[in-house]
Amino acid sequence: MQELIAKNADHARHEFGRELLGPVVADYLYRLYGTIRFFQDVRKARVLFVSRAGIRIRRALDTFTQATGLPPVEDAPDFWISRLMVAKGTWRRHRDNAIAVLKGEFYHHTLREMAEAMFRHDGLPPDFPQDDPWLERKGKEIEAFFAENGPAAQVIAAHFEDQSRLFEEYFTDLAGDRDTILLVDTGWAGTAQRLLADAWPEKTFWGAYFGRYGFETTDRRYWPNMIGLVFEQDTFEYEKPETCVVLHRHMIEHLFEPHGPSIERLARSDAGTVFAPEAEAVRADAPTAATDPMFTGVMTYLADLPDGGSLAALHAAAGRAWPEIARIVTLPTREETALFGHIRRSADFGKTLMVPLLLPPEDRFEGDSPERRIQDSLWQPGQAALEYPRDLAEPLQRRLAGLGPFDFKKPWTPPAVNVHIRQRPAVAVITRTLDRPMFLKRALESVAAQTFDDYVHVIVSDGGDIDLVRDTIRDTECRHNRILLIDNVENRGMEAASNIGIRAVDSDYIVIHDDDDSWEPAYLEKTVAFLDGPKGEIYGGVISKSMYVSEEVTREGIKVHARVPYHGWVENVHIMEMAIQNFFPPIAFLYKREIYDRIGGYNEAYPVLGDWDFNLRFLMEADIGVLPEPLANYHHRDRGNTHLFGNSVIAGRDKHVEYAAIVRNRLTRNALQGGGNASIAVLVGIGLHLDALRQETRRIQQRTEEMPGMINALANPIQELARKQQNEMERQSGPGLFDADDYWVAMTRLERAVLLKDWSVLRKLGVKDISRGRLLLMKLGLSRKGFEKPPRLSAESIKFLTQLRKKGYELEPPPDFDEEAYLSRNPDVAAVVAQGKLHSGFEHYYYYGKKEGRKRISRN
Amino acid sequence: MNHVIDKDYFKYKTVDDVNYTEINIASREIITNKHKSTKTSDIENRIIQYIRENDIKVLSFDVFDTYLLRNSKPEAARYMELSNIILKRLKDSLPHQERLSTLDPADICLARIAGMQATYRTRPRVEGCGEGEIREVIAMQCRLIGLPAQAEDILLEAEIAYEAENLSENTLLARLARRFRKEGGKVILVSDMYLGADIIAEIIHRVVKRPVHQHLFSSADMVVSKRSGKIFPAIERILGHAPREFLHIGDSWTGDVERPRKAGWHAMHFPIPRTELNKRKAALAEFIREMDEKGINTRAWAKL
Repeated sequence: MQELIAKNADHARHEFGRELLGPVVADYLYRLYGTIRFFQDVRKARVLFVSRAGIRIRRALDTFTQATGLPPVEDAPDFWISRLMVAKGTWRRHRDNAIAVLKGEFYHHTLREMAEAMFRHDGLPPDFPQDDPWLERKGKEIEAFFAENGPAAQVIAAHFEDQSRLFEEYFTDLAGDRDTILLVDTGWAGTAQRLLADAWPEKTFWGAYFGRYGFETTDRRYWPNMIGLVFEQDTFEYEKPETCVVLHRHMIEHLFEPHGPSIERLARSDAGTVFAPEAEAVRADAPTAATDPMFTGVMTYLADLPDGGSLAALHAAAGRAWPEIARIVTLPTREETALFGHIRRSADFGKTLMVPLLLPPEDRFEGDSPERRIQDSLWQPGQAALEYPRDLAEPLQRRLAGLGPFDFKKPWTPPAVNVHIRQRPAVAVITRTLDRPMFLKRALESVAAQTFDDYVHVIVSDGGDIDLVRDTIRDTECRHNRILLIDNVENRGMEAASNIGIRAVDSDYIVIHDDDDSWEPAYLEKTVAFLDGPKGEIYGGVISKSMYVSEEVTREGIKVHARVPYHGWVENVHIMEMAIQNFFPPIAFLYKREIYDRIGGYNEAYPVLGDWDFNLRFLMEADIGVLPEPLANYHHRDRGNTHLFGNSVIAGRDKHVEYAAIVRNRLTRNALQGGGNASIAVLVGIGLHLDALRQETRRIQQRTEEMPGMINALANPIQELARKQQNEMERQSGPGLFDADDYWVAMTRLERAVLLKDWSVLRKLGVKDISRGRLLLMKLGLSRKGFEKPPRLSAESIKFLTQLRKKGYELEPPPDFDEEAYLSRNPDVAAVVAQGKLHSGFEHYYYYGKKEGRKRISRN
Repeated sequence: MNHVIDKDYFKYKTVDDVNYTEINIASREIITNKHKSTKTSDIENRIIQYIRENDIKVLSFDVFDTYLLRNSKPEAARYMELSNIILKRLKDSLPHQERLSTLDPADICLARIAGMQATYRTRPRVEGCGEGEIREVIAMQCRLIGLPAQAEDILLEAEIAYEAENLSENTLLARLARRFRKEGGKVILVSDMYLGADIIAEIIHRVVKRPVHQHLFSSADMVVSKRSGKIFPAIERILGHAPREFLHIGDSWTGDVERPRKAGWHAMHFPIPRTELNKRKAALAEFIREMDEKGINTRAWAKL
């Protein structure tokens, strides 16, 4: 393919269409055909091909049915709409929806731009009130714009009313007497379908799409009625290569987009019928090998069906093609980007802007960067290929797509057959209980609610009232046929109870589910799947992340006060970390029975910390994996009567301190006396010292961290200082190049450079030695107190400091910048900050947002 | 593994003298042997005793894998076997259909899967419940393969015949039902299935000489189902009995035990034994691999 691209890009696109897209499109068309016929014949639906993509989809489908000999699809007219047309068209029936859609499209644009877009084809009416001050406001205020109903709003609303009436007539005529409508389109979140469904609640709308996916904020109310024929998934998954379309939807959208304008208005013909004036131009779409090589390549395949025309043959052919398509989409070489490099997408919604799929790898403006261009690109892996040489681009592409280091390095094969044949239960769930029926009931329900049900639940009554236990089990809605009840008759201790329970049954895996803890319903399903899968070759056990649940026993029952991540920092299980402390609770830990057998089970001598001892010995045999989802709940009665109801961590706190030494001593003693594991003894010894070191490091770190706090405490004076500096400069030389934010950035960075003694920066500012640095800082300090003028920074110094982007100089927001509000109103920025790509919303605003016209939000 | 038939089941063990009592329930293998063993008569008697103690008026069985026992083939493999039979019947009945000469059983099987997806997903819901229907499945199959309308009857008959040939009556439950009817009780069958009551009844008639039921309810007709819990009040209304007068027995924990109990019915669990599940799993794994070799990835829909 690469050689082909190098020789002739158009020919390569044609061959890509014929060899790779052809089979997947054929498979898609077969599913579409069946769906259309089913809806027509069984559901008695009106099927509508939604423009513009529907026009080419129909053309492809007709070629396909002819080649396969299937009866053609009939009585399925074109539906001449776009998202903008539907927004206009549903104005009368669901105005709020229409406004919401327009707001989303024009949020950062002016209302003038919005108005021009609404009248793109005819131009603004001659009497349009051009000087309406609302027109300079941004689209995010569109609700208020229409609510106030000023002159411009009235004209636009009147236009919408008119278009809406035409649309209702048009749609009513198309739908006829059918209550069910099937829309045929490429995808992806079904916005048009949703708008129509809300506007016509008396009808049932279905959508047959190439694929369906969305984002966190996507409205999914109608998603059950939106059929993604090829995939329905929000993210790319290597095992399902067809989901690569999520990363590069333009591949399919461009394929099916005919030449011709978007349908943004309706009109009435001389004959009195409603029509779309732009439809004719779209109908005239005549793709050729020169204008649409990829589409003509696909059509060549559809006409010939070289892999055969049967359902199974096309399914298999698509199965072979998708992995290669996914490889090109996720890990394209620079040459392969040429397959799609020519694509330019219209910005939609009446905007005339055309956005290229890939950006030229050169700075667009000051402060631009390869990272920024990759972020802005419509095809991020492709952009990465343009920006960097292969050895740098590929790791970045893998990260962007969530690929593992070896994915696509070997020929793709379907995942291993995930069927596990067991001669014994998969899991032994061990619950130790002693006169706590309220907690036992909760534990029973927790286990019974599991989505994975191949377990035996061993309940070990450790010396309490066995009748109470039996009654509790009987009266709880749970899987009684999974329960094995053991009466220890007298109290034998937690670890002995565990061993008794474990040895009473056989299973592949074991987990201790204490009577006062609980699981999320998917705990067993996900942990068992982890150990059953390829990871089971590497790990002997797995933990899920846990939630610390603070609760209290009251007269009314158990009252939960708070849920917070328990040791949320755990990403993996280091044996050295375990030597310092036990950092996950038993409820989170599912492990292989063979390891339990090998290490001899739990040490029954320990009244507490027996699980720590077990975990240490476990880690000497096998590793423990970590599932990132918090599926285990570690309950603590840390309020109220902790003595009576507390778990050992709370109520037995003194015992933990006591036995921490005993456990370490015993391990060491055993090793020195020739028994036991010398390695563990060494580890726990080192662990003790590491813990001490860590505590000291934390103290030092805390002091260091307080420093920025000290800076922050002085933030207001610095900002005041920044304003003084600005006023001074402007007084001396007129309004300058810099504003208050520039001075803020410069002065905080100056202060940071002095504190960190960063000579690479200080020398550039003319500070040659520490005494001068301290003087500068002192002057800054004095200025804050109002005793001296602010230290003068030259324009060159300010420019240098504002452009300084390196670790240690991250931008904190000035006190008057409402960081929270900025992130809240700019969720794309919030996401980037959350990912750690930028330090703060202010940093985004300062370097990018200002240029993009985003509003600076000040605190009142 | 032991099977529970009622709530009063525990394995009870003391640590000091390993001396336990248990209510032992015969496994399915014994039942399908069709030899009356002391163990199965124990079960029968225990259930009759339970019925009498609780004044049960209506004895209700799940159909597939309970009253009618399947063999060890997983569902996916059964679909493919059925597809083979369908193709043969189509060729015999429609010798002039050119399309049939290029068809493979895999085409018919994939068309069935498409039909199952279409009917389950798009059938109008009743009280929030959805259920598929075999005639809709067949309609999609015929359209995808490009067959005439008359082929639909052939596919339906093949479905009924195939099911009947691969099912056997659960003699334990059959005896139980007959005893109960003799004592004046009613026996019903309740199925969560895409086959309507008329089709299930036809299958039963072909499998069993003397069907034991007086009424048959299928979610394919009612759309509400056992697994949603909504079929039980509907059945109570139709038969005119209070919830506590019903005893339901079935293999699905959710649909045959949890939900009826929530509805106030008595319920007993009759699960598929591990040995049989393991056979089906092995067959399923084999099926998936065979289809992989044909280039058809069945993981999304191939089930036990």
